Amino acid sequence: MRRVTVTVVVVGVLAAVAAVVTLRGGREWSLRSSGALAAWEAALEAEQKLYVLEERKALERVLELEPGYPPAMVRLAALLRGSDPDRARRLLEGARSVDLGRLRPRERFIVELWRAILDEDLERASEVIDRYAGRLPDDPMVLTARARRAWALGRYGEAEELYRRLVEVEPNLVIAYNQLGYLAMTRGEFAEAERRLVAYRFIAPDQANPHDSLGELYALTGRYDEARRELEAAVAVRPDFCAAYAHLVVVELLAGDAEAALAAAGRMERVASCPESYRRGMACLARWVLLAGEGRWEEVWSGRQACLRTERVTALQVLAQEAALQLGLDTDALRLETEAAFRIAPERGPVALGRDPRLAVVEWMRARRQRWEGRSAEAERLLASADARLGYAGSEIGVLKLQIRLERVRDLGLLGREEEAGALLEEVAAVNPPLARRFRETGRGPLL
Amino acid sequence: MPVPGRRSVLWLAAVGGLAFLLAGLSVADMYLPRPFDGVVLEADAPGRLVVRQVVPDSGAARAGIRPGDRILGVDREVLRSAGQAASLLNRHRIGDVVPYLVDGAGGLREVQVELGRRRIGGSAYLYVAVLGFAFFFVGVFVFSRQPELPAARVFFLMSALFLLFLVCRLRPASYSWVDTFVLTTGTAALLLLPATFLYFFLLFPDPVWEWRRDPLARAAGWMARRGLLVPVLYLVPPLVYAATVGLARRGRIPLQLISGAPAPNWWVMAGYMVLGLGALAAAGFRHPQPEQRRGALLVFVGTLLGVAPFLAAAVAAPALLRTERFLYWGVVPLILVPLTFAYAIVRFQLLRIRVILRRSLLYSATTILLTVLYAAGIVSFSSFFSGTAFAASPWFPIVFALVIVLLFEPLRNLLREPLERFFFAERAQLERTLGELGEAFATATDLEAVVRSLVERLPEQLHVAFAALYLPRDGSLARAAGPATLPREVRLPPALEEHVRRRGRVVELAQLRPLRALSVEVEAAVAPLEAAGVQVLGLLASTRGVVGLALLGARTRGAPFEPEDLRLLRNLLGQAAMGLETSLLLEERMRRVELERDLAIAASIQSQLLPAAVTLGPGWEVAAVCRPAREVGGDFYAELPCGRRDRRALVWGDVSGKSVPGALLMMAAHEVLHALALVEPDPQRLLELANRRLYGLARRQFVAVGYLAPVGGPGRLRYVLAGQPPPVLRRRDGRVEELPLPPHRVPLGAMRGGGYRSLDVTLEPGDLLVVHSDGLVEARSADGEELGWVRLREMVASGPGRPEEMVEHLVRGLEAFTGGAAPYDDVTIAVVGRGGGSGCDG
Repeated sequence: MRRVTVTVVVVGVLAAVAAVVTLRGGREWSLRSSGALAAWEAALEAEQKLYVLEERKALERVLELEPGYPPAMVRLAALLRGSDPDRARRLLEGARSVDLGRLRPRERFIVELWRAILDEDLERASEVIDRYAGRLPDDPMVLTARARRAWALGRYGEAEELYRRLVEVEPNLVIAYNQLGYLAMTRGEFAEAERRLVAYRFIAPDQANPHDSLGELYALTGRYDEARRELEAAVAVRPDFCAAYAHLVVVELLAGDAEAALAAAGRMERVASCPESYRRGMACLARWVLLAGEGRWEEVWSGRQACLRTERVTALQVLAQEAALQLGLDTDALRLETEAAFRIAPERGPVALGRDPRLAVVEWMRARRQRWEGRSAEAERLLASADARLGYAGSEIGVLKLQIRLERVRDLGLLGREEEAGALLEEVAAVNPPLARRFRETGRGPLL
Repeated sequence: MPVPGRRSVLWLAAVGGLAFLLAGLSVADMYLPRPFDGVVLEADAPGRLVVRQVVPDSGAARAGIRPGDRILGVDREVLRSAGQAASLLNRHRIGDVVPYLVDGAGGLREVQVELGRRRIGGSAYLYVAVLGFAFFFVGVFVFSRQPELPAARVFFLMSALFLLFLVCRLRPASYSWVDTFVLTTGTAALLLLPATFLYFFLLFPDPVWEWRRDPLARAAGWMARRGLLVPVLYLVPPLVYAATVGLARRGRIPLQLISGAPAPNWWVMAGYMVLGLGALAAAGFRHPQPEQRRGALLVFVGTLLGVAPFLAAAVAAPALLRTERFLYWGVVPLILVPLTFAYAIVRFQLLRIRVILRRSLLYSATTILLTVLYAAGIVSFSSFFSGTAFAASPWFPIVFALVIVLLFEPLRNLLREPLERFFFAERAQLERTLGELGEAFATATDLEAVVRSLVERLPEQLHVAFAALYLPRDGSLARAAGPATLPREVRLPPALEEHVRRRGRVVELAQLRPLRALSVEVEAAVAPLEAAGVQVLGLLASTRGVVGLALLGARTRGAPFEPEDLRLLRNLLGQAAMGLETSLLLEERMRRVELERDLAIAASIQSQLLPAAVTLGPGWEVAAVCRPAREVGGDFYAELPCGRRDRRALVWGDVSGKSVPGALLMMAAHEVLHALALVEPDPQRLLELANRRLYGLARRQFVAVGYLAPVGGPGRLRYVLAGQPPPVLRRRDGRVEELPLPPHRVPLGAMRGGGYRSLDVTLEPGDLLVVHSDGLVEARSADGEELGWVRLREMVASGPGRPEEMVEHLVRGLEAFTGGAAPYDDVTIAVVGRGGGSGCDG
């Protein structure tokens, strides 16, 4: 009996010690106040869901309860960098004076990483990520940082792998679903993309972005009603969500309803928080497609000064070039093409997701000129190249790819390569059946 | 047979208790009011939350969730585990609508599920659970009756594992951790069940290596003798499981589970099942004992018919074909397994159980019959009243159920006899025979017949080596009948008697071990019985106390005594005790009648011994009377010759002891004194010789005697007193005096030596000498007061002058004093007066 009692006591003491050690060691954050901890966790959750305002509010609350908490200071500094640079600087300075030794590893990682980012020292930031990746390989924050870095550097394969791991480790980290959804969409794996984005929407239905992402997907795949519903849901959640208005324009263009596109662009124009160039670009696109459809090329050409005030290389250049060609302004058409080519030449940096749409647009413009000049074979080669450069990375780029592909179908037909043309049209139909159907009926793509 | 370690029995009982607790909790958990979506998860896809079944009309069913779908998220969280889903759902209340992320044939979709009350598990599961518990209770019964039998212990373990497998593994699982825990327990039970199955059939009905000589049996025996059999049998399944899971994880191969166990384990299980059934079939065909053979064959057939459909329809079909359509048909035949076990145990006495589950069998049969009646009634009445309000009324089944409940008891009584005839023919026969025997005992009047019946018929009926009966004699119990190898006498120490009484008057000697260890007396009483082969001790006791002791030897078939046997024996011995008591009372009564007759004869003889008139010779007047306290008294008086033909001596005596022994001694003393007086006139010598004679005749008995005879001078008398009180002399002038006592006056027969001395006294005319036995002065009044010397002297002083009148006076005085009550002791009075003449020596 006595032996049993001793054994029970020893086991009980060991279990209590183990429990205390586990609980103490398991604490991730050094915050002392439970209120501050709750606010910090709310901030992290908001960050996961990309809710900037909520995150900012939660970070303010953390610093109110525990002033000088370095991770909150650097995160808030990052958020305020654009809107309140002075305070951001003060917060950053404050975070620099803190002894990192008393922080836990995750906290040190956050502080070191964001100090480097805010200092715009990307090499140091990268070094911090690598250092912590060795120590905390499965930490969601470290994985997120690594995936973002890979994405930013155009290493999409690595990014996808990291996001996949992130979903395994932290299944409710929404940004991973978004990125994985876009990666799948880019490759044309729409079902997989939908799975990711539906999961994203399931986790954060009160966020605009998942609705917008799904809206883009549905737009590309010809599910226009669903696309409209999701995009409307996005703007309902967040009426200042510019991208959703733009994507509504794209939906209508894909649906062949240029007037509706124009109306959607009008809604976007009323959103003051959207960048002016973005608003103007989408409004021009909708109007030009409408005018082009009606053969009113003079009006297109006359509006070029206002619409091409952007540095971006988009479909607007193509439409303007087409107007010049239609109006017999060959030199202007060539000039537009050359300007576009020059505009992208000095740009550096990694290749964007969906390959490089700018180069694709330039090749597209060349192809249209070649065709106009009767060199259909050359036009087809250039279009094929442009097609290859583009993925379905969202509706704005995806609509270009679909337009290019339909033009190729037309060119292949003109070249007598009916079989290839038919196969290509089938591929388009596999992506967006209504679009292919409409093309068969009208011979028109979403833009031209 | 070795007695099982208390520890191992406790361990097994603990395992069984735990299994019962788990199964009970599992069933109870399913009825907890918890928000439930209607989804039953696939048990063989742990962590993947695959829908196996959707409860009809549940929230999940209405939301379009279908079997085969995967639940990926609940309540805006993508799930990592079923437990997470449970905790998320438990935040909600019944009636809440919760979003689900479901992956199925239509792709990933979000649906809204309304949470309802938890109700999972259909009739098939209910049946399975009832079956599991039924089998478990059969195991508990067998184990409680025969904990020392290895096969009974393994059978108990098997029934516990079977319970866990049926209740836990086949449980419709939802998300809660309880489900995971219960399912894991069920899987563990499933892994170990075939090992237990095989082990049981290797031991059942007897260890296979004890009666078979083939290599497999020898190998099993070799392993069993070295203690390897159990570890090997039980370790193989978990090791195979661990290896399979380990290899699958290492090779990143998806592990296909069938009812929770990977395919290699099913191969191991199949091997175990084949070996177990092979051993059972071998016992069914080759066991040396025909009874055991028949029982084993029955169990083999029942197991085969029960397990094979179960494996095919309830295990393989859901796992491989993903359908539960055949589940019910796989589960229903499983009832054959416990039923055949129970029947074989009852009918063929497998596991050496003689009586089993009579009541439960009866109730089960009644319940089944009534359930069938109920179902048939509901169906037929529903169709009969179809379309009417009555058929749709919720009261209809309730009223019907009440009718069935009322029918239950009469129906059970109706079923009792046929069932007992069918299942318990031998037992019924035994009970009948013992009942008849008991009745015969209860009405028996012949003690010898009771004893003979008990000792001769009990071994025959109960199949015991011998029976013996001890009856009370001189404070102990003497063997009245039974083998000579048993002790002649048995003394029951009070502690043992009390213990046996408290245990219902019948105990097995093995049950007395603790008491024997505590009491030396009990050990001394029981050890010789044990050495003589006694196994059961039965006390025959009545209201008068212990009237006998029955001892029984070992069972001739080697089986232990069942509690049911002991119960029957107890009843029988109770009736035998009544019979014995009756016989003893009757015998005593007969003896009393005989004694009374003897007493009458003795009294008649005694009265003839007393002379009608006494005289001392011429010149003397003597009157005497003797009043015995019982029919036969111990007092007497007589005339003796005293040397001269015309003179006589008067002797009066008082024998110690009354009734027949006293009378016999009185007659002996009377004869001795007469015989000696013929040759010895000297009173001192006479009494001396009589003392020697009586001392030799009657040990521990003696005779007080007084002697009075006339001697030479006128009115002179010589007296000798041997234990008698002094005579009282009343002079003519009325003075009363007690005569002096001689120095030695020990009663005759009390001591070897004599030394009696005579004294003389002279009576004047008119004087009266009163001699008497001590019964006169010791006579008691109604208040218990003695008459005493003072009153005697007063009575003598106030008495008349003639001896006869004085005697009458004294008798009346005595009667007046005692109030006419029966005298306390015999009373003899003789009064002597002067008439004229010479003495004996003169």
